[in-house]
Amino acid sequence: MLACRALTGSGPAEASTAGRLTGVPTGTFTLPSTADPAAFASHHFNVYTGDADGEHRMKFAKGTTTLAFKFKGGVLVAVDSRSTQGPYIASGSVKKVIEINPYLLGTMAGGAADCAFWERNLGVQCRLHELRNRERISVAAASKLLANTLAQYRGYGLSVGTMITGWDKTGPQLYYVDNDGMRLHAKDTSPFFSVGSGSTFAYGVLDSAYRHDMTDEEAVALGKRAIYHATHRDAYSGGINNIYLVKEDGWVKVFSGDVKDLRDAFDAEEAAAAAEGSSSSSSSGAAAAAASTA
Amino acid sequence: MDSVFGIVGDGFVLVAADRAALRQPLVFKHDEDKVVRLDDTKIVAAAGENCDRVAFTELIVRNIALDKFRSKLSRSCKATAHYIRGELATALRKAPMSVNLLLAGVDVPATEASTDSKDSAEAGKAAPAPAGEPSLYWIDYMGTMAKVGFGAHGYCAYFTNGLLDRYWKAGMSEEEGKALMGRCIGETRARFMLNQPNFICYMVTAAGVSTVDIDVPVMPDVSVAPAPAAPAAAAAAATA
Repeated sequence: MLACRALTGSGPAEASTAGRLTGVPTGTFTLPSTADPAAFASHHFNVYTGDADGEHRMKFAKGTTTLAFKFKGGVLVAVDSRSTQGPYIASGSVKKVIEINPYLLGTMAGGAADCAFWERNLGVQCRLHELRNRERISVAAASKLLANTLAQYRGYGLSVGTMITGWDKTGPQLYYVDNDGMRLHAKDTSPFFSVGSGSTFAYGVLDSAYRHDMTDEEAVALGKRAIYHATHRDAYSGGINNIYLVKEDGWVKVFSGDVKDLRDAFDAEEAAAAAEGSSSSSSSGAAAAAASTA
Repeated sequence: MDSVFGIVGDGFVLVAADRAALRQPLVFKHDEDKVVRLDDTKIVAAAGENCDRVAFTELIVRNIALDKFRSKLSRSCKATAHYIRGELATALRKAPMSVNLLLAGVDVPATEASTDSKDSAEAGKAAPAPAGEPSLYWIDYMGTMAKVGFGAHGYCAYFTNGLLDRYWKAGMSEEEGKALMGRCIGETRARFMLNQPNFICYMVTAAGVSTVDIDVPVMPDVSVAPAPAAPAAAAAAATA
């Protein structure tokens, strides 16, 4: 979409009341200069929704694995780093955790440009909120700003699947926001989300091993496990596993490592456990008990 | 894909909504609440795409609160239903939108006790709470509206309307109403392809809005093939 011009036509953006500084359109959309921009967008671009079989020039699938969960120690965010263009691995070192500000993190699934651009835009809106109101924006409000923006552009071909997380006055918070304008809050009864083509595999690991009262170390180990299993099964996920922890005084990056090395580590762990099990079966019962608790 | 349905009884309205948040093949949550509270005795259950549903219900909730703040009056269920239908029809003509609604409410008649502020507390204690007129309005995404005794939206309508036609009658007691809601939830669980195990059920009476626990009867498990005929009898028949 190189040749673009501003249209002052009708559209959902007309109702926008957001300020010009925020980058959110005020009454105008920049649209492709064709007779029917919506038809142009739907002909050339496709978010994998209803009709995945359509004849589209470019297809944006959410070829990724990202996950985040709330637990005793805050919020843990774990992602892979593979970027694909169809069957081609375009990059193996993408930063899919977007550092919106020192207290807010966003994750990237779907179109990398769409996520990066709109979460950067969210960072701008959050800073303006701070300057206007003299206090940090809540995670609920920040995620709502993004959801409102995406709702305005619904049907225009954006591809965004993101989790917005941070720590505010109400404690650690986690929201899921996507290009359909859907916004979901992670409650105690649904403490995690996973987004991307590998998410189903990650959900399997999370659903069976998640506990609220995990230590930080256990949480990081679970994040690694879930991402590793997702990258193992999903061809569109892989590369580096990056892990962030959201704490009361902001986020920290706690791990960054190749999923290949994770596999080696898990293999070695299992081999050691198996060896321990077989050796202790012949030795005293006390040793076996020690091995099983380890 | 959302399931919402409701019934009117004697002095109350019951509304149930499923709690799943779906996106394509994935169930994100089983604790979503698709019911919003308009005022002390009115609720709206909404089915539709998350974005439209949240945007539209927030719009009507805030505007009804604003109207109440300005006029210091609580509108009747009928007036509220027509207001909501009007807003929906207006919104529908600006952009495509799909939100199906059920408005459940009870009109509490203004009593002398409530107008006489002097000894209202005493009068309120002495006189039993007025029963109020319960009503249920069915509004679909095209702006069709009907005042109904029972109503359902989405696929769950296919499963529950037959049951409701058969078992609903005017002026049911709370116990009868809850039993009927349980039947409908059980039928939806047993026969609907989608995984919607959790429902939240609200009751509206003149006293206010509350959630209620519904006992869901165990329905025949359609996932299990029927047991074959007793082998002994079959063998006996073959030898005979």
